[in-house]
Amino acid sequence: MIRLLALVALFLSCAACSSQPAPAWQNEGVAQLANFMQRYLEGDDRLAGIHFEKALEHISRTGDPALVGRLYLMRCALGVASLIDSPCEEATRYAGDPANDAYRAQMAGGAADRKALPPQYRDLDAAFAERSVAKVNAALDGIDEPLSRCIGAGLAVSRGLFDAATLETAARAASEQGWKRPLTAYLTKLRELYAAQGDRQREQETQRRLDIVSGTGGEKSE
Amino acid sequence: MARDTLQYKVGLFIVSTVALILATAVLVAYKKDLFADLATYRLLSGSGEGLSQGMPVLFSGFEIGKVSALELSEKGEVLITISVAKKHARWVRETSAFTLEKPLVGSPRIVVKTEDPAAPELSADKIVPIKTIDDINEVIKKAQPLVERIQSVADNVDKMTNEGSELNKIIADTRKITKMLSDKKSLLEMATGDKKGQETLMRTLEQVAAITATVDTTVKRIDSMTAKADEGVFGDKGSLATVNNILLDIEAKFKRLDALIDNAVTMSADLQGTTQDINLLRKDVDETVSSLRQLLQDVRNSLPFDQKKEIKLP
Repeated sequence: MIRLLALVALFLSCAACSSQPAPAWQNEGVAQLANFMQRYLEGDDRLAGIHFEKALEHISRTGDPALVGRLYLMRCALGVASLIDSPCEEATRYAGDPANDAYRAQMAGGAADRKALPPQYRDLDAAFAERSVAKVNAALDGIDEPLSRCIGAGLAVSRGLFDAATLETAARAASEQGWKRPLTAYLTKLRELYAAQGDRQREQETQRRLDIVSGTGGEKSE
Repeated sequence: MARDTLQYKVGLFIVSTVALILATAVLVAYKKDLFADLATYRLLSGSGEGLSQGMPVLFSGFEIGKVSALELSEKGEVLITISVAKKHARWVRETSAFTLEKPLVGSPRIVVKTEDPAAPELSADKIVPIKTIDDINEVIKKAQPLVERIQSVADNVDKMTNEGSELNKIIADTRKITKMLSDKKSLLEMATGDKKGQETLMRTLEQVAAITATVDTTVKRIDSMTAKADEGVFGDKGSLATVNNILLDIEAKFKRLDALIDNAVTMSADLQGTTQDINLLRKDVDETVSSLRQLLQDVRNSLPFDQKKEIKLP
């Protein structure tokens, strides 16, 4: 047993010796970016703004327009995931990176270079091209990342290629992660859809979930 | 005998008459210095214009000689020979100046001027240049600019009086204005070109008079109101008394406010000390946070799994 532990310790120390440590800007920038995304999705704009500025400060030290442009694209994508109309004007100033440009084109609802898109969106982009809601829902189910799924659903809504299943998929992903902002957005959209369809029961259920998210559900239940 | 006597008397009369005539002629010739001895001098002039034989030679306005001869020299100049009676020759000296004067009125003459009578007598062989004073030409030269000015004035007058000139236009406009003044009733009517203009002005003036009367009435009312306002403001129960009471109250409150400000100053001094403490504490906190951040980075760098992170699009 002692030999095994010593072997593991040796392995770890060798690994530490051989691996290149991440630079400070990357550690700080990524950490601030993660905090920004988390706070934004939770609906705390004040803290989200602080973390975004910090992340921008760290990443700007690289002088890399692609990285800075990606930061703005991520903020834009979070808006799409929350069904908020968020033009990616700042990202336009840092155009030139193929992946960023394709991503920005997709966010804007235009034709994107599918090969340059992140892999999780390629099937979805194909479904958009065919204008098939069923294929959109199938593509969304195929996305593993909850945030990407919410973003995909936001893109579908902006293109008018959605139904209740689309919204339920996005709401479920947001609910599992505890993201108040996109959950509220999709539940609100879902309630409006049920109301338009005359499905009173599902409308009320959706409203109840909205009340819970907004913090008024407990008072009503009492 | 009688006949002989008569013939004798006639003969005597004729002889005496002729003798008297001759005596008179001789006397006159003597008086005219016809028998006097003459001295000749030679003068030189660039032109013979105005010169003539017999021309008088004057000294101090007195005739002392004449021009006896004129001839051309080999250089084309005019040689003048003057004859002066010997008794007057003492006025002609080496330093004498000879001038040909051509007066505006009268005949030309040669004038001799001698500044120094003690100078040597002028030699008959010496040729002296003569100056010329032409009064007529001088007058013409002086009059020339004046004549040109007069010509210019005449031209200007001609331009002013031409048909279509400004003066003619002004006269035409004046005629029009005069005609309008004679036709119209007033200057106002002429200015507006409307016969009703004067009537409108008169009506306006009447309205102004009415308005003035109204204003006068209003001012009287305002005077009355002002008197009442004076009573309301400055009376025993007027606004001013109330304002005085308010000011007294404010003064008392200001005294209390002074005490509060003194307390605030004391508190501010205390707070200043506290602020300094907070600044020291802030420095300690910043230093600690910075140290912790560095420590965290060192720990991350020493971890084997903390490798480069990629910023991916979500």
